[in-house]
Amino acid sequence: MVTLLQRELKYYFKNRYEAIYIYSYFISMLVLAPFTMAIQNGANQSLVALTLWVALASAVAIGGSSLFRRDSEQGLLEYYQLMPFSLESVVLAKWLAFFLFLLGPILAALPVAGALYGLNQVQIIHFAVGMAAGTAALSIIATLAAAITTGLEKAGAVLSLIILPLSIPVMIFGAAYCRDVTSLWQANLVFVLGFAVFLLPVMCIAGAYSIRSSH
Amino acid sequence: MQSNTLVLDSLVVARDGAPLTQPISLTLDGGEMLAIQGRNGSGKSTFLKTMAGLLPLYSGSIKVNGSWPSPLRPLYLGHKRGLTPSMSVKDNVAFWGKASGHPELIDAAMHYFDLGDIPDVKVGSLSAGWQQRVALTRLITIPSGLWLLDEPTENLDGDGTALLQSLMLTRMEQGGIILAASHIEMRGEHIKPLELRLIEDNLEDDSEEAA
Repeated sequence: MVTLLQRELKYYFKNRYEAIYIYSYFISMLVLAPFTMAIQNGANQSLVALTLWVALASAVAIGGSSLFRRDSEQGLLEYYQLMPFSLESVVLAKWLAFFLFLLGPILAALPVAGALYGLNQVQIIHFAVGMAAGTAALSIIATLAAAITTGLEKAGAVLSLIILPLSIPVMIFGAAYCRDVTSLWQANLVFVLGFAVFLLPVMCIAGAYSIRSSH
Repeated sequence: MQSNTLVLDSLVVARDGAPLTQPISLTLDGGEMLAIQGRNGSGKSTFLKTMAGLLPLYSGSIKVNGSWPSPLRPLYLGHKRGLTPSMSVKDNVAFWGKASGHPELIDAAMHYFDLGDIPDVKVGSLSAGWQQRVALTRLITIPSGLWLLDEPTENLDGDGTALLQSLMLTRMEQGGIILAASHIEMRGEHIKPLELRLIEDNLEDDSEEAA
């Protein structure tokens, strides 16, 4: 598991162009949206939440769609099945690396968002907590979808069918959390975290099963 | 080392759920090799994947040391090399060594296949033959008593082929069982040939006879 995680992180480090592609999408939405809004004395909290969450969900879905494709093309998924570790741990390691790979730059971009949208420090911290939880939940959904569609020739449509409905509750509760900055610990946050915790074993078990049956 | 056995009893392998080959029955003991032959599309790769447990059997049985799924963890090397082109030779070799729990074998594997001078070169920039050598290091870094090799000499030059053959002979001397689909002919008393025949082959033969 640790070896797999190290390998995945090293892969992301060595393939930085992939990272730039995903982040540039997130940053573009983040930077361009304020120009379409009338920002006076700070942007409308709803619009900021909308922009950031749609940017996050899009970036995660784009990054996650090819998560298992390259391993499948290189034959790694077949060989993993004959190794002394479970395929479930492979799915978990790939998700964890993907999550860590997304999280750092997304959090680092928040101060920039703060400057563009006129957010104060409390709001930035609030968004950081909400989006960290959201990144976890959305990346689990993207990993699950990528694993389930491994081996499918036309995976695009199925990917959307899995990602869209599962992302809706995360978007609703995640954005609601970011709109209400009165408290850091809210029922909305608990829902997003709970959803992630519930989906994590589903991702590992269903993802591994799908990969196993994809030959 | 415990003596290994592999028994196939009327094994029929399937592709996409449909039976592919005529029934195969044979017994291999530790130290023996099965040289699988057959024309393109005759089911060599499907047969090896089935032996690895990656595909379900259609009918018949496989017993490795008396049971199935195999109590021996097989080492399967297929057409796909299992390498990450954007990572270095050393990273690729080291990953499999660490993943199999045998990091101490990494240096030996690098040295055996003459990769010691190019540890930091990206695998994607190597020639096909050298990429195959990197893939073959798994024969050393992942110890196994049952090797399933699909065209292992593909793209190898004479030196590479000799290194592989020597490794295979050593494995057999140690009691390992090898199943290899290869166009390179290996002969010896411990090497048994298997000519894979498709189910349609019988039908074609019958129709020719009838004609």
